[in-house]
Amino acid sequence: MPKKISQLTALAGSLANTDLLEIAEDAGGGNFDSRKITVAQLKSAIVSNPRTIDLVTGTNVTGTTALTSSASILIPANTITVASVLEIQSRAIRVSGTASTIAFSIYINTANNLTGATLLGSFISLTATNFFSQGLRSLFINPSTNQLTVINNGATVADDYVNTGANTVLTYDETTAYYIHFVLQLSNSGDTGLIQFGKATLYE
Amino acid sequence: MFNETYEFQPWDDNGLLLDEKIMSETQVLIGTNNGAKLLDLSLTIDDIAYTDINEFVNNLFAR
Repeated sequence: MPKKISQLTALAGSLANTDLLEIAEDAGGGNFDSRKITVAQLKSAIVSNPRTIDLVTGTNVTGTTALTSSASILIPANTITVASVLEIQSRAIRVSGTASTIAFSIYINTANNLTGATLLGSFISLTATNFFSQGLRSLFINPSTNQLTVINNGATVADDYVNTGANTVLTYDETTAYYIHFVLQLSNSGDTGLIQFGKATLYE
Repeated sequence: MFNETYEFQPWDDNGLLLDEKIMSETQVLIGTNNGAKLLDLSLTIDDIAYTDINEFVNNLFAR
């Protein structure tokens, strides 16, 4: 005897990606075939715009005066299929020590390290008495031209809300995976800095 | 990243056109036609390793 949905036992926990749902697939001509799909398939079919690529927290940077990636975000290959804006936002904080400046910048690389990374921009440094700096960059990425455009990458500014100035155009191959690196550089290795958060949001 | 060919090209660093900028004892930013690249002493130049970043830069531009 078939049960009504209201008569079924309620799911006790959260949906798992491997859970199954029943759907009626349109077979044309007013006919439908019963099919099963997983929750993972359902999730992938739901596309929000904008969508968060990732939100990360960093690890402490201390004991070195070299540029160091505190956090990174992977932009998987083929993530960007149409002309889009990838908005990068991040906050750096001073965890301890007030000896000197902490520089704060973002880089892009095809590897999850800084060797060969390309400068995307520099945010406002934390002076010895600053404990907080936040920055934003809007990357316009056009897969049809393989180009990424950002405000002049040599400019040290918190954000890119300007109506004048130069821009920087870089190669971006959407079929390649990239990492966005959130980078700190201590002027005094005894200080400690941290990327409190870094996030990447895609508008397409 | 290094399977590509780049040409040296200055970049605008806060109003100053720079060919290179020593960032630390092991790292340097080099201006190219595809942005400023962060190179470090883990890299070799023609299979020669360097321990001094200034020497690394001098030999890079000498090639």
